[in-house]
Amino acid sequence: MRAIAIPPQNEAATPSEAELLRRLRAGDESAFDIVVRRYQERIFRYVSRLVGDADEASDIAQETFIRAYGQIDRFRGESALYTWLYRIASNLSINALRKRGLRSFIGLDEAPSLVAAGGPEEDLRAAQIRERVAEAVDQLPPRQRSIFILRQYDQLSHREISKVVGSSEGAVRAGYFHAVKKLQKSLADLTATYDDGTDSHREQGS
Amino acid sequence: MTIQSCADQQTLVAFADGQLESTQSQALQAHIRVCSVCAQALRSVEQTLLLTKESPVPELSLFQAESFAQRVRLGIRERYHRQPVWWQRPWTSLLAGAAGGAVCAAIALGALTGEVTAAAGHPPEVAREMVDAEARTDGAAPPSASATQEGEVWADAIDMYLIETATESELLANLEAVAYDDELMTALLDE
Repeated sequence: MRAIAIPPQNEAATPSEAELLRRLRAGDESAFDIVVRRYQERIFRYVSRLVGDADEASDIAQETFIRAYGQIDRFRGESALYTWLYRIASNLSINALRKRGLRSFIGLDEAPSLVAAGGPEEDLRAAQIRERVAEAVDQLPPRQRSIFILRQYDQLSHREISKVVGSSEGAVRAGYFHAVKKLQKSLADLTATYDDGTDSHREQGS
Repeated sequence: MTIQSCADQQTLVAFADGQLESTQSQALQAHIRVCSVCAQALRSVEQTLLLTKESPVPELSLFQAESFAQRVRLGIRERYHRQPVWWQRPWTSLLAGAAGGAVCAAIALGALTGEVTAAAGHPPEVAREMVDAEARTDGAAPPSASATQEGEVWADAIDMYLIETATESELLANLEAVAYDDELMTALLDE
């Protein structure tokens, strides 16, 4: 897949968020169009990582914007607009995951840079790693997965994540830590080369 | 945190995530330099994060991006700006009313001219008889071939109406008036 054609920093980025909000509340639909174009890729990317399936992710991301439009009067502006969008997307995604038994189907089709691209053996190895990472992320509980994705991929601050998931910052830190711990355990064999004696140290350190 | 104490897992994760305060961070870095166990544990955390971070980024294609925005617009329109179905729209109600009125008018007109229409499928003389009979039944004037004849028919009909509706005294007064008019009486008797 190629990158989105409408970059967030283009014309859609011109009006400030406050200006957009003012126009939205005045019923200016073109302002909402700017919001969609500005944040659609971020929201799609987040939902896609959370639920896996690209079609479902697209549907959920669209639903996120549609609901946001309908509830714009309820947005008080205490947090950033995109944080609010993330929150709607997060709730919709977690509901979707629960409906289908918590499993996502994340399709990872690019090799991590940790695995050098090269011959067939390296490609196979890269594919195996992608598979393992996907499985490991899949196995995280939805809330932890959401926190991990928001932090790791979307690079939201803990404060922003706390607004998205509706928890305290402390709970977000704990959620992130548990997610990393689980991933570390799931992917232990992949990082074994660099991780001899971690368990014994963990006992010692905690 | 002193240089001698080993870091717990949560601190290592927070360090790898860049969430430690500068003093804590400096202390941990100093410790890692002399503690291979902590250094190895930190590398493991970082390696895990790197593995997951390097996963591919789901992206919208050019077409997907454009259709995404359009579908959001469509969804908003359908959910929040849905037009009433055609029979619920004001202008269609007016049209429907006008159409209904026209139909009623057409039916009424059809009823008025129904006798002519009903006779249309018959030969001319039969049709004429039917219309005349109908006119007699209704007390209305039968249509005539010429305007003069038609005028006479209408005059008779008006006279008949006056005779039928005039009071007895009115009729007697009229008769007295006629009786005292010799010329008129003569003319009437002649006829």
